[in-house]
Amino acid sequence: MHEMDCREVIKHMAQYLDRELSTKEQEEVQKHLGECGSCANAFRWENSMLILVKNCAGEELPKGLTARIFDSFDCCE
Amino acid sequence: MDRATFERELGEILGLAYGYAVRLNSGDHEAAEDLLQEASISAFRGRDSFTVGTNFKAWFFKILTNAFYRRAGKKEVQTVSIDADPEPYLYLQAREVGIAGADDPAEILFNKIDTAEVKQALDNLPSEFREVSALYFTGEMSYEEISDTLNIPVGTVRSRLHRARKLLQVALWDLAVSRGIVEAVSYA
Repeated sequence: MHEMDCREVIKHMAQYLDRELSTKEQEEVQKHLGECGSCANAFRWENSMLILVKNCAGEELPKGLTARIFDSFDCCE
Repeated sequence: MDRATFERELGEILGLAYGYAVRLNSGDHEAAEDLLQEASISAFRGRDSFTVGTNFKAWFFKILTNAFYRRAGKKEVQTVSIDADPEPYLYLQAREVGIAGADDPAEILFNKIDTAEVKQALDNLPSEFREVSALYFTGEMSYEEISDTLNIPVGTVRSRLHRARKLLQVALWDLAVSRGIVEAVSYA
């Protein structure tokens, strides 16, 4: 069975964290991470950064904007 | 689709759509509100073109993106030269200063960076990367949905996201260095 080396695992890092790999590839990466501390550290840093940006990227919908938008449909009916 | 159903569908994603619109407009909230309003009216007028049972969010975000392009004029084409090799940039930097083995990078580094500064890093991305990133980080979209929304192949989504992440990592690390966060952690 083919096993991924560190270079391949790092290449697949983004897709692994985004759950965009096939089940088989996902498992291969998972297996490697269980055995390689260096890659596990690299993944932890990447994932931590992604969580930070996801938590910060959104915006709160301004009060009243939904109502203003829905009201604007009156003119289009 | 009747008006009540349309408003219910739209209401569920308006928060995400607003976040996306703000990022598209590089943090300009007023422009984002105008854009969201324009896209909503456009979607309402064309709601019969939506196939019930398909992905309303992807359909609406496409309209929103097209409205943004119209407002911005011809789509800006940028060529940004950065290293495209897969490289865990943050990890390599962290290793240089001896903190790569940290159990929780967020605790020692990321939580000390202000939310506004992270938003700024996103807003400073070149437009072709900003669009993909905004859909990914604020729209909670899969690669396939982003591909559908921007009319670009999934491979292009993957490569742009990769580059965007690299640029973000560079920006965030530089930020942490300039704020003295890295130095404080390294010598702790």
